[in-house]
Amino acid sequence: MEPGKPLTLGVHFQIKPGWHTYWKNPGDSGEPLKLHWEETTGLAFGELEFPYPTLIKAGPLASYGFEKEAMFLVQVTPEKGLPSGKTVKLKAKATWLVCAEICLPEKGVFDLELPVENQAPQLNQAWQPKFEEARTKIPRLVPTKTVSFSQESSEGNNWLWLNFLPKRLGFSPSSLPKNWHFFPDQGGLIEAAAEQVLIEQGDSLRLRLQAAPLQGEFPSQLSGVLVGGDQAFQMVAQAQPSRMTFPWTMLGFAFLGGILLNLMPCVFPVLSIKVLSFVKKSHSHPQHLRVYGWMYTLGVLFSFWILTAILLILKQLGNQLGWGFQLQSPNFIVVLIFLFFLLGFSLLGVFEIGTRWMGLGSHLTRRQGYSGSFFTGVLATVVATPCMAPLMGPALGFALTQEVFTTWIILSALALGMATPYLLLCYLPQILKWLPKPGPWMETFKQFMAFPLFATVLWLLWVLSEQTGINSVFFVLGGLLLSGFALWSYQRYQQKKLIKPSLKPKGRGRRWIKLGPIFLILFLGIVLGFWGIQPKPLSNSNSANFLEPNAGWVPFSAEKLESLRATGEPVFLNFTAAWCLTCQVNERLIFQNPEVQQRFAKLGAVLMKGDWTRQDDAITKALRNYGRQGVPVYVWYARGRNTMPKVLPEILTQETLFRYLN
Amino acid sequence: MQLIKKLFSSSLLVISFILLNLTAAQAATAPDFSLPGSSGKTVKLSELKGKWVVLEWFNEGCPYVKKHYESGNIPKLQKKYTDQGVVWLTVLSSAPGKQGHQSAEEVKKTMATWQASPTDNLLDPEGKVGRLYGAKTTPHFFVINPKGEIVYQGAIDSISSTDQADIAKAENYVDQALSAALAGKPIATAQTVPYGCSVKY
Repeated sequence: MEPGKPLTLGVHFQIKPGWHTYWKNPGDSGEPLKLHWEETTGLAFGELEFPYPTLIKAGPLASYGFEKEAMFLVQVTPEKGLPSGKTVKLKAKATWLVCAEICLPEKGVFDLELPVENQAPQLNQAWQPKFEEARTKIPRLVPTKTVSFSQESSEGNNWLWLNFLPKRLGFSPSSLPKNWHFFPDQGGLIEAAAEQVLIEQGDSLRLRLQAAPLQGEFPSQLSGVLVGGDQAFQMVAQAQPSRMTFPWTMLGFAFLGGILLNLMPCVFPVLSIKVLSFVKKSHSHPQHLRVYGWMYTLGVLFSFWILTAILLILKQLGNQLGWGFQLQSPNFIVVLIFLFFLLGFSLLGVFEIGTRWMGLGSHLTRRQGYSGSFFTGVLATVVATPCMAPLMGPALGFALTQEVFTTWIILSALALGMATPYLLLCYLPQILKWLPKPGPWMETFKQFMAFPLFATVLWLLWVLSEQTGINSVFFVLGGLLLSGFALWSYQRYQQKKLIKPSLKPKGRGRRWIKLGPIFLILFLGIVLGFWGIQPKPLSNSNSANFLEPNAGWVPFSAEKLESLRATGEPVFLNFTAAWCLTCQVNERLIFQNPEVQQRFAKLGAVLMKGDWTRQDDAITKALRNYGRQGVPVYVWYARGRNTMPKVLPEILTQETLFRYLN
Repeated sequence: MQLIKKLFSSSLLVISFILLNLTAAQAATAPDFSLPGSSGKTVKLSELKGKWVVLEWFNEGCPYVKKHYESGNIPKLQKKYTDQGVVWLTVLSSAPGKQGHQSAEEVKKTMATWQASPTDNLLDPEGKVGRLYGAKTTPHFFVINPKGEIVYQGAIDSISSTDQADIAKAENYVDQALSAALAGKPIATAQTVPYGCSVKY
């Protein structure tokens, strides 16, 4: 060896068939090779370098290790001042474990004598090819930020998606390996035996790992070796916030809905009267007025957060009872149908909810100053909620189907929308004179709002017919008929009471005798609606969409997909649902387009459709494999065995579709 | 203003509490099982509520198990804690024909030669309970509190090797967990990566 020049030593294993030894992280069990160097003056020993491992599966467990052959490298650097002409003795105690089904701990002592010379050492020619080969198997270090990962939880499993651009690892689209696997440096973080699912999305690849059940949070960094084909990369993946398509459109609608809430008869007067009083009070101090505005906003937000909390608790309770708060659950759809139907009648003025609460708490708003405006905000929501309910209902129903965070943010947007006009007036009090005066137009507006609600009922009925068939729709319509009759009777009763005060019952009991049958009919109507819910026989499952012919599409099945992939046939997957508007638009504009159909035919693609209108575990599982939790999802498997699935964008144009198909 | 502040902080508390409840992992309850023991009795976990329970995955042929039995390390712990009322159960999840598969008589004999005194040795040749708990190695430990929650899971100690000389240098997690638990103190390390031979399912 030459002083000051590092040289590489190798430890070579030849392993009998059926046996294996372990990588630095042995996976579920095992023990890596360890070298303990005897200290030698003038020599510095580097870390043991491991080649990239292979996955060795055994039942539900898996190890990371080596079969047949493995070569470990270590760098030794002689100090510059080492006198030449001497020989140095290197000595290492080694321990390792070999396992087949049984495990044998082994140990050995390696020693080596090397002369120190003032010239480059003669390399052992016989071993040179082995060293070169070993070097190609040592993972190449890649800069941080090349790979990131995000977390996703579903059904008690915690998934990690590794996200990276193969281009930045030096792969061109034509040289892209098909097999990828990730080996973490540290044990206990991921399930070693779990299948790692790969998808292609745009230019990037995504590899799904299953996180081990950990107590506490998953670390924000994940270091390990990523193996693609026969190349390996030592990398540190940085956590990125979980990938969530931010519900911008929903937020926009919630915000607009919030503004609309101000036009409801019970809120609008609060708005103008309160602002007027504030304007008068703080005529000389516009900054005070602004603080009032913000306090009001906070008050509204605060009340909506309370509402969110209540909703989430209800949802949690419901989930424990096994109710699904999703549009796939026919029960939930029927609940929504009745809710919207009743709220529509409420908007029409057939009955009013909770008018008695209205005066309650108004004394709080008479307080002076900032707390007064805060409570005006609280009052505007809490006390006015009953009259806003018809408009809020749909938003709340929708929010219930969402994740916790989304529910929260939608309701916050609703709150901000509601507070915005007030806040605006506090900044620009002069526009107050442009505002319409409260008056009968408000009642007209309120009644008009019933019709969008009835339209929603119509759409929900269609979704229900897709899920459970036309018979249960008939039952629900019958239920609505009964409910309508009950509401009409209630209104007649109320009007009679007004015309002939003598009819006014003397006691509470008398009143209930009259109202009792009405409520009974309403109750019966609702029961009738649920009575008819029967799951449609599964044989029809994929011919559900009567609006579009399913010619050319076969129902999705994971086994079928696998067998098609094994023969290398191209497959296009289309996951859709009746209640998904984007899906329906894509169906009509893209998949029913003759040009697109011709293109598919030319490619010889098998077209598979997964209809998620109803709860279907096989489809839910398939969606998760592509990193999605909802529809639409479009996936393209090009011709050839084991080609990677390409996930297409949700909003399709013919152009993007064709670009992916190429 | 005071009132508003109070209202705000309390509502934030409520909301964060709910969010926590919805998102945080539930306290890991130990799944119930029932297995025949080498004593001839059937052991049902839910009937052991009110007691501290240790589950130890065992394979007589595994060098890592041998390390801790031949040195007397595990037998000593078994004695120390069963004397204090802890139920110490070894579990044999090796499939028939694979290393570590033993009959009731065989495992009793093995334990006798090692002077070990577990409360019972559970026979799980189908690996049902092993898979239920996700037992990966022999040894692999689970400590269960009287409420039936897993309070420690993982390795016996901090040095993964088959060398008996390492036992003295290592931090013994199982000993730490049990002594803290019995003294009514919180358990410092609740989860580690187990080491050893793979369970021969």
